[in-house]
Amino acid sequence: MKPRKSGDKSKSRRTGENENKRILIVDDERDVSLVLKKVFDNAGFAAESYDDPILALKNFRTGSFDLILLDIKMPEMDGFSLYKQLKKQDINAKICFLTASEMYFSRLRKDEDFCKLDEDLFIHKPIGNEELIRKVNALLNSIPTRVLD
Amino acid sequence: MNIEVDSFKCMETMRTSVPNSGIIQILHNKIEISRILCQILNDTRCRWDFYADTESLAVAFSIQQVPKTIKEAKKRGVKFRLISDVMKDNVSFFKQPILNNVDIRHLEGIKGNFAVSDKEYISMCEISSSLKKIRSTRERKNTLSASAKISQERAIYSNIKEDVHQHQRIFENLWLNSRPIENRIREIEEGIDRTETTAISKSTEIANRIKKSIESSTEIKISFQPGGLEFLYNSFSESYKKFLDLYKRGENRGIRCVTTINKDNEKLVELLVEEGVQIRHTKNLTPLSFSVSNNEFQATAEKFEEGKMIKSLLVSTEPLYIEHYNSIFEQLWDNSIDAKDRIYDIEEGVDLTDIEIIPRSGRSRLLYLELVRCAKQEILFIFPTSSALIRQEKIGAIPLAVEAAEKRSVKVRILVPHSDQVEQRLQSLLQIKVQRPAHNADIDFRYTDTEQASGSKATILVVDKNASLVMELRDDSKTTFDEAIGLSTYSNSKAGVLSYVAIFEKLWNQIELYQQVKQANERLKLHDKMQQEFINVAAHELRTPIQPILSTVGLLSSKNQVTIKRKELNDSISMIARNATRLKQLSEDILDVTKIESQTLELKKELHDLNEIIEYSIEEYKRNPTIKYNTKVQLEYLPVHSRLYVEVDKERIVQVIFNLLANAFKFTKEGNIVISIQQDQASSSEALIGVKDSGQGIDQDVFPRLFEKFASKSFQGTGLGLFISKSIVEAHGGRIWAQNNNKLVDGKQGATFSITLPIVNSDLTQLA
Repeated sequence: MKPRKSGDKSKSRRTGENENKRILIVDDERDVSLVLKKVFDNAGFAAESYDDPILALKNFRTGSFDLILLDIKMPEMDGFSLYKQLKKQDINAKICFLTASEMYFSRLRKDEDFCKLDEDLFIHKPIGNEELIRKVNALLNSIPTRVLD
Repeated sequence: MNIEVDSFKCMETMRTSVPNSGIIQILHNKIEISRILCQILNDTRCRWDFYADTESLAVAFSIQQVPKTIKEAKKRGVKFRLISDVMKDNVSFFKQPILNNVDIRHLEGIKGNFAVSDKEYISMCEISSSLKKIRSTRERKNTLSASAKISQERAIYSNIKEDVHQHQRIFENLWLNSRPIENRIREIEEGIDRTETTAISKSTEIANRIKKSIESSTEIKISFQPGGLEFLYNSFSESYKKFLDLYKRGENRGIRCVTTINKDNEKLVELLVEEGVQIRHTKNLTPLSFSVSNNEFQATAEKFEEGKMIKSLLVSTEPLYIEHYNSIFEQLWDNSIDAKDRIYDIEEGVDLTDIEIIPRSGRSRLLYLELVRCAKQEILFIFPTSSALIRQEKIGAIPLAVEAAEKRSVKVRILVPHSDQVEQRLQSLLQIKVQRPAHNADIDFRYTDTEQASGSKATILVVDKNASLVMELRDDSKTTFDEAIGLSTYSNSKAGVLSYVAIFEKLWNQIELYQQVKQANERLKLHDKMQQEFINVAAHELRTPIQPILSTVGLLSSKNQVTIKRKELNDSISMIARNATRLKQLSEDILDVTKIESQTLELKKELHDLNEIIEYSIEEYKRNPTIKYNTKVQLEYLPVHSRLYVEVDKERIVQVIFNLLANAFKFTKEGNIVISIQQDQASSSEALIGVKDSGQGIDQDVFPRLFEKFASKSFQGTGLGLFISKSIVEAHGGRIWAQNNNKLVDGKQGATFSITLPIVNSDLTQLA
């Protein structure tokens, strides 16, 4: 699945603080990654989305995103593994999680020793567009925490 | 004073006169003495008491007038009493007519004589020498009456009141200390002349002595070791039968016998009881067999062998022995049970007496091994601790049980608390079973609770359902059996042993039940875990489609409706439709599972052509908005050429085919999927539908649970599809199964899911 590049910026109705902030979305549910990209694009971000975590990792370049959103429950590579891989490449990458399942969220979080991670870094699906944007903005403005290397 | 002494004729007579009371006279003349004696007899009115040894008696009765005078005195009502020493050789003397109506008593060792009447007293001092002579020759017949002579006579006569009274009192005293002559005569006749204690070793003598004893006794008490009754019955039946006849007439007190009654002598006991012998049973006999009568004690330490005559007999007339053994007998008698009860017990198998308390572990060890060694059908063990099993294996009990199982087909079952050591030992026992199946060794074991929980403190052994041995644990820390075991109880009482068998069986079955409950509990736990997982999966599956709907609706509402392009709108609508359908399917699946589980899945069965159903299913699949149709996968349909009619709920069968197709597509990235129908070759009344893919194949982990709920290896899906499909197919009387394909195509194995459905009729015309 090819990455969907950010839409035409001229079409973005909203500019300002979100201008040029680059967002990466990785969710194996094609509809989810697709719609979230639209939401972010619509809010003035430059979003890129993948439904294949391995492809996302292969195409990842250090410093190319201001914020990365990862689904946790994914086939082939779960969100936490991808997190570690991405952090290996870019220690300063700001990464947060999207999850629709408490079980996978908590189990994997525990197994992968992600318990120390700030609760704010976990965004629970389904989430309304405005709330999502608000949370993402808050994360963008926060000082990057380096809990895990 | 009536006596007139002829002073002329008795020159030597000394006569002393006592004023106001009477005289004392010493007589030296035979005639004088005779005359005075007769005078006294003539004069007395009430009594004539005579104390005399046999010699004196002979002398007195030899006097010519004496018998006549006595006869006359008797007629007057004078009461005659005589104390003498009755012996074997003079007993006949006391039976002569003159002594009829004379009250005679026996006193041992009498010497001398005196006679006392109402008012007079006489004592003859010298004993005839001729009599002494006769006595020494031991001439027995009529010795006294015929040959007695008074040679040197001397007598003291007194009629002094005080003197007479004094002698009357002396006589009374002697009378009290003597015993009736009848008693004594019987003793003499019975041959108990004097006490003796001897051992007889001649068998004829033994037989005679026993016979005599039976005949002369008034009461017989016997304590016999086993075999004694046969001995009595075989050798002395005549004697004891006579004795029992007297008993029946109330002339003696009968025979009482204590012995051990068992199956061997049960019949004889019944016979003897019928004849009148009183028999009781005890196991605690004295080692010595003895009989004790009113006058004799007889005993033997020998064992009675098939009623043969014994070789030695100890006999005693010593009252001390008689009394001692009398009391022993009475004690035995009191502690024994009636023969009838015992025989009843034997016949009913309630062998009360075969309960043995064994205080020494050494003895219980021997008994233990013996019981195991002799087992014929079944050996049951209950061990209180694992160490108990280890110890009892060391003494050889377990190896003996194994041997019993191997060589004699004895069924061996063991209940023991679990420990690693025990498991190791028992596994090696089972090896025997596995290694030598020809022996058909039936050894089985089950683990009871842990030692701490069991609380049991005894090893229980039950052999052949007829003997039990309970060995109480004294100290489990000891390594040897003898040190560890305290008191043991052996029993072959039916009720007791069967109770142990019941306890064993209860425990045995309980363990199995416990295991079943445990397994059921584990299944429940697993089920619960799966249910929990399902909720999580379902939650994930429900939330996921909501996100696109929510976001799309949000986007649409935030945009200016006019500026929205047609394509964008169409995309948005299809996204919402797709995800809404997904939600609908999921909610229907969950509802179906609920129906299946509550057995309320209803089928609207109608006749349909199977080809049509499959075609419709394929169309449905292709039409479904949730399907991302993969162009790299070819779907091929191989219909059956003839029409196959099935009576089915079309929607449900479509649902099944849909599920199978979705499943095949999900796991097939590229290649082809073939759906086919054919009439089942094995059973022509069934249609066989196959969905074959060339995907990754079925994961071995999932395979066993493939048609169970929530068995999903994919990250998408709830794991309900196959479960629902199976339920639907089975509700139609069909079957469903899956297998991985044999051939690898491009490194992929692929899987085939098959279902069968009953064919109503292959030709519709026949239905008309």
